[in-house]
Amino acid sequence: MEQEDFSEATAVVGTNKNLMNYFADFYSTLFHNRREEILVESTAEIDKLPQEILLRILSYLKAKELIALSSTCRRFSNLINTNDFLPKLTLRVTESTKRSQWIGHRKYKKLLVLSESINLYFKLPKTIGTYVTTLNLDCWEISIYEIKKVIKLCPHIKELSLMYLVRTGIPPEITKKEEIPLTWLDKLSLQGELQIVNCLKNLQVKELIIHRQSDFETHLDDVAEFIMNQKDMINLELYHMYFISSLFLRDEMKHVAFRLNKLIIKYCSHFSYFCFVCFVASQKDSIKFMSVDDFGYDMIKFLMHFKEMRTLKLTLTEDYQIAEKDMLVMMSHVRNTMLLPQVEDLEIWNYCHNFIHHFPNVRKLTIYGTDLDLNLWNFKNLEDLTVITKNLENPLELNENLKKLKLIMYEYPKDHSPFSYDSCKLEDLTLIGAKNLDWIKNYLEHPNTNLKNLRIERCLVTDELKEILKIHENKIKRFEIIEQDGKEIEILRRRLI
Amino acid sequence: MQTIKLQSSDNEIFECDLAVAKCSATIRTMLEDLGIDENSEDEVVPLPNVNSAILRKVIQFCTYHKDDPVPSSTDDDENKEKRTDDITSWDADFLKVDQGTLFELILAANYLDIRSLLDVTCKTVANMIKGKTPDEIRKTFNIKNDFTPAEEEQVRKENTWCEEK
Repeated sequence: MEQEDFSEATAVVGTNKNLMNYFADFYSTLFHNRREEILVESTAEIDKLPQEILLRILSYLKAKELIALSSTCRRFSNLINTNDFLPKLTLRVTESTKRSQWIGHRKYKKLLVLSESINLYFKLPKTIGTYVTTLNLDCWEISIYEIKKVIKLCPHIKELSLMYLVRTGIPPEITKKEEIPLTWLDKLSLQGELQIVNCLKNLQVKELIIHRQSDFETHLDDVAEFIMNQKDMINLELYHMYFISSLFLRDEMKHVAFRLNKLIIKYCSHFSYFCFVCFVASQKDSIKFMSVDDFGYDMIKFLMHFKEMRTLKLTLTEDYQIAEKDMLVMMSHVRNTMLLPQVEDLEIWNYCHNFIHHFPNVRKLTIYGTDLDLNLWNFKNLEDLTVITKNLENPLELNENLKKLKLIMYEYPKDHSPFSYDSCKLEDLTLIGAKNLDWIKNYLEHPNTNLKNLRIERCLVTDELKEILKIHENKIKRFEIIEQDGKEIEILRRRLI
Repeated sequence: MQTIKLQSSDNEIFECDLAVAKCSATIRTMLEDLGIDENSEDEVVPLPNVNSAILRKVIQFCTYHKDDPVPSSTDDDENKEKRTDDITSWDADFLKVDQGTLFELILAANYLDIRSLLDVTCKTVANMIKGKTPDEIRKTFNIKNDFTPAEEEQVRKENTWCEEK
């Protein structure tokens, strides 16, 4: 405003220099403080920022936001259409884009083809797949011939995700004649009807992910053969593969060529501990990451031999439950000398607090249970702890090395805090789903408390509690309250009971 | 406590803690490599690319963050999804400034090589872009649409073919 007044004044005095200087001085003294701000306001604009800074800002944006920004002006359009950001963009061939004529210039690296628009894809220029390294083919009722045709257009493909589905009723007959011409992939993800492996006989992959969605089991042998033939495979992920027990019991499985770094077997009911051991024993020198069903004590005993294991996630899937009685029998055998010192990252369902003592050097721990009683005092390396439980018998005993604590529980004790904080030096605290947070006042007032981040999510936050939090707000660098959402708490509760 | 004098482009002298000034890798290098004597009372570090208003803000930021741990280089991992919703409330308050000041702060953080300030200012700008239509982005940043109508149509068509993933 003042600036406008000033220009008006100059206009009036015209050429009278003395008067002008007088006015200039007068205004500059009067609005001295404001002038500084005005100066700053007018100098920098976004398109004056150097390219390296713009690239840094753009690196925080997702594809959708990059696309919006690329439509604003030439500079951003050019910047985003260079190779730096193309890995974030996927060319999507769908029905909705049917009418717009293809005039693309971007050298896309990711391509998504949906079955409904497969014919549209074939009408695009043949060069469309030249730069594609990641292909996502969603094929429902699509012939192998068409799949081959799509893949042929992408000569540099490294990652392939193939969803192959047919109408229920008759499993498709796929003969070995219909060979898909692929010999090497970094990553192959298969979903749906797995007979498709019959077309991939000459393919070697580094990472293999299989999601089963079909009810047909006629192709079992083919899948087994395909898996076993992978000489260079390092990652294997199997989901919903109900039949894998018989697969892993095969004699050949004990003599596979590959050495896995990562193994995930989830949602596979009827998958027994025995089958698991038969298969995984040969991989004990290489596996670093494992996420499988929890078979309890026997499992821990078996895993002791896995010297390379760093991350272990033992979960109870919906399909698998250990009877409490069997569990107690197992626990009676526990000896404290049995340790898995190599494991740093552990996720475990805790039948009994003794279980975790087999992992003395764990750095990151996620633990589930109904009524946990945990003393973690001796875990000197533990930095990051997540506890998911209905209730705690006693406060968690934490030592001073723990930096990050996440508590997901809905029945907090009324008379004490969920953890002992006399000597702990927590930096990050996340509380999820709590009904009672009365203890937090004393914790925040404790002289040792020096939180950097506090996050309260889906908890019952009373007005009284809000007042307390307000007082301490400034001591904490990052502070978040996410309001209670009754629905989500209900889900959490069901999972825990 | 040891202090150091910094001189802005408009010749204002700021005296601040040495520890605060050393948040800037550029100043650190100047002191170490160029042999500016840290103990000398009269030594002034000239910062010809930063004006006094911005330098005042930068010193305020560094004073608050001087004890923060230095972010490890693994944070730079390209494959990791970069978050922008993790700006602390102090930083968010600190950056409640007009756009010009924000960009000047980015330039200063870049010149002075203060990684934490550069990160948080760039995140703030990214957040100003997020969730907006091209028109809203133009309005927010006063960007001139320099496409010809034909180019604009081409951009629009091309963008209907992309998706987020």
